Amino acid sequence: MKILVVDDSKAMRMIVIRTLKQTGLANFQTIEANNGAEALTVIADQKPDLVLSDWNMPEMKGIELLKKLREAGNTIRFGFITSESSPEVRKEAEDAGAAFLVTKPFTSNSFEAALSPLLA
Amino acid sequence: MSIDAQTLQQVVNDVCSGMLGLDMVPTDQACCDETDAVSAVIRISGGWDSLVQVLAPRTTAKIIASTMFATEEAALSEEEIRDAVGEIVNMVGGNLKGIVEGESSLSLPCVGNTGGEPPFGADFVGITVAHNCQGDPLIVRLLDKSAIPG
Repeated sequence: MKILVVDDSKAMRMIVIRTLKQTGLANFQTIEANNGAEALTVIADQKPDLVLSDWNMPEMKGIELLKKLREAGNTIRFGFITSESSPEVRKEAEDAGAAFLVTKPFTSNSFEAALSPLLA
Repeated sequence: MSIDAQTLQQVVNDVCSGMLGLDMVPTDQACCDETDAVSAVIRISGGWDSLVQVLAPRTTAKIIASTMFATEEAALSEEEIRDAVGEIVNMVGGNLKGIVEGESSLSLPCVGNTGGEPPFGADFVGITVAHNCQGDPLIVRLLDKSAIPG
């Protein structure tokens, strides 16, 4: 499984990847993008199986990335990992087709809970 | 719901201790050497208008960055140190925004060296909480602009 981690913070991308390794998830590789616009290119070129994206980023926000993917007919599995946790944000994410939203700060348990339905 | 000092302290603790595993001890000593500190500010606007600042003396900023990047402090670049402190204020701000009712938006963090200038000025009237983070100070300020009359 190829997982694309999208976040403008290099520190957070490293933490997300480290946390993925602490879950029971096996046989995965990670690729990275710095924002939504870069992620669109990476998705087209490398065709990941899952996108884990931040919400607030320069150039293109995570929600814009998701909407562009769905508008283009791309049904890739997509989840948000973000400090945004309001009901409005959760609803917007769900309406746009996100499978889950994990709130920062997170633990490997919250990752497992979000990812397990997708990986079953 | 408005944010009080206890809630702010809890959010900071959740981010730094709960997620990063840093040893966080609340303290009443809300001061640090601001002439060599990293300051990260984020704005929440809309239904709730506020500013959140994380102020980390360089020693604390390096501890945080070293933990986030899982590397030795000596190997950290200035960009990585700023990135780490910026992500702390991003998480604190996002969580506070989630607590307060109403639709608001979160800015991107603005991170820099303080150069001794307090970003909120001498007449700051918001909430300040301080921790010893692995033994070094970490200060977080919240300015609830909607609570200021006029």
